[in-house]
Amino acid sequence: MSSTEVQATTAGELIRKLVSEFEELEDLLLEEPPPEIELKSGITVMLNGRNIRFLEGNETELEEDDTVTVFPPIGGG
Amino acid sequence: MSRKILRIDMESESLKFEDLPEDYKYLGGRGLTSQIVADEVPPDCHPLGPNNKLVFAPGIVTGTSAPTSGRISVGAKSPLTGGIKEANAGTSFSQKLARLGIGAIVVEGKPSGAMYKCLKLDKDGVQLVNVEDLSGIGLYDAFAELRSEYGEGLGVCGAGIAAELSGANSGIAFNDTEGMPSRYAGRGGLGAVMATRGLKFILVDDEGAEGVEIEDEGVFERGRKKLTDALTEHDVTKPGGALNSYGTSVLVNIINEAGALPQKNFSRGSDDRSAKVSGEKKSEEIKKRGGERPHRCSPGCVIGCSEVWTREDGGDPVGVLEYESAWALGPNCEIYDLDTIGELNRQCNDLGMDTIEAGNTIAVAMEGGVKKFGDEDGALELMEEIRNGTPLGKILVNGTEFAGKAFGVTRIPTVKGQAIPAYDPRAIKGIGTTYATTPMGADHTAGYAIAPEIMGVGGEEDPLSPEKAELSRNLQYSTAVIDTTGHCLFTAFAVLDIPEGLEGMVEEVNGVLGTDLTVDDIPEIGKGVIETEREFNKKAGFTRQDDRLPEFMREEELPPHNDVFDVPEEELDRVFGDLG
Ligand code: SF4
Repeated sequence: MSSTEVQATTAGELIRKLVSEFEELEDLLLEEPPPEIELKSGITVMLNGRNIRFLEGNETELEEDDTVTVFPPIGGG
Repeated sequence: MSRKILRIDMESESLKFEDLPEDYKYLGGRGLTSQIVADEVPPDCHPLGPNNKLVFAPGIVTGTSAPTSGRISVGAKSPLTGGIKEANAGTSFSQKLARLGIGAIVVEGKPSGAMYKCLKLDKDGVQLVNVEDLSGIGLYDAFAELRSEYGEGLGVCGAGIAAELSGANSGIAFNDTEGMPSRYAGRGGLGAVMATRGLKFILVDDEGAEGVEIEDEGVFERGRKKLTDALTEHDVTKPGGALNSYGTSVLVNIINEAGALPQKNFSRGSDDRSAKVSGEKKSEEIKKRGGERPHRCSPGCVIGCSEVWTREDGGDPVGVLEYESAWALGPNCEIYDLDTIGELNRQCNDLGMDTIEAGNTIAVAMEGGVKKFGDEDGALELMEEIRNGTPLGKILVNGTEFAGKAFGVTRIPTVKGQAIPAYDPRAIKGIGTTYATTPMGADHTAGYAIAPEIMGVGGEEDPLSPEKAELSRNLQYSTAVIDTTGHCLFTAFAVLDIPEGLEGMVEEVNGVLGTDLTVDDIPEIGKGVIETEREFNKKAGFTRQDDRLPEFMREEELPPHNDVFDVPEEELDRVFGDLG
């Protein structure tokens, strides 16, 4: 486990900063290397429980106390 | 060798083989059970009376080397919903049946005596033997006894104590690869249909069987390879992927985060304690305890989502703890302890009950004040009430709606009398549309909208958008086809995203049947199955008003997102509008 502190005002910025901090995430999360932020299919980023794809995507604005969660490809039933 | 129907009249104890009629030649699994039920069962009959019939059918490719294809469909008029029912399970029982050349078993008639029978089936013939001594005994012991007496490698299926009580929540258990009764055609009360026909168990031995006839080996092999490649490539189904590593409970965290994991009888959509029953937590425990993970419900599965959950000391294996079971018997009752959930799941398997229905029943009993939410010992005591056949047990064994009414509860989470599974439809509306409209009663597997709404598999759909008729319809059609082929529904994750995988599935079917179907034929075939099922339900008295979710889900907001189920009635009616 490692932790870090990053400041970001949008979801895209947060992902970009995380990926530059933890290089191994780049391959897991992104279709291609930054600066483009295109999430791989199956990767889900949620802001307070809402998938950012159905909010403003990478432009989704973040506020103090928001919760952002990132999920790998998941299936089940 | 063409496929046969084995017809058993339990009243006269006559057993006969019939050639599969020409009309049924291209059917298997759900397509075949639903067609036989529609053709032979009067829709207005009492589900436990003499005119109902119980039909078992392996899928079209079951018993071949097609990957992840060991499903058996079981059909009848449901004692729980009053409509047509198909429930399926993954088990070597199905593969053995198919290899014996059996397309379907039809169990009919109702004996006047109460002597329970076991049907034994091998390449040399069939016989009914008395098993009265196994009445009233839990299914773990009964399966073990049958296998020790007749052969460890046999396929076994059975109805349990819940079925002997004529419970509308009684499933049919099938053997897993350890021989335990953990793979269930659970939903809809099919166990009671079996037990009221005087049939308690079926044993299948495929030693020396000729195997499934394949019309065109080349086409089959090409399809098999394409599907296997898709399954081993897709992130969800591949070795080391989500299902293989964590099982279906990998969903707990994401559904909880989405605010759609029902807590305390559908009164909240998330709770931080849910992480304690997640797939990640469970796999960690299994590793510590020496259970098994990954594991396969039946030979030939390349996904391997299953597992063997044990007690803390590694003893008393339960079998798989599915996402649905862990939720129903866990957070929905405000229980967040995997060991308690494991014991409740063991009781369900042993008594012969569907875990989704049982968990919902306990939750409404808690809401009705029979026990307190979160009372782990209390929940286990309720299982004992059923085992002992007490008056309270007899209420509980009849499922959520019956128990809810008995205990004066108005928030009863059912559709067509069947309890709602582990996704709150107020937070994920496509799955709610499926719950409302499938002919089966609330059933997530009938059109698994969670794939595009949460996982981004097979497209991407906003879970909160109320426009879901088309999505649900398309998924319901393709699911009816997968259920007919005998493939596990989890193959859908790969074939929805990888076109060659879907092609492969169709080619496997063409190889077995000698047909020349294409991917484009899938919707029409699925539509045919659902049309047959809806027609049956209509004649049984169902109307559009039965394609609705409970009132409280339309009116009571679900925290934390505070949504209601707002898919308009017209949208629900549009799902199968052209089917009437
Ligand atoms: S994916 Fe799971 S449920 Fe489906 S066949 Fe494989 S082990 Fe069984």
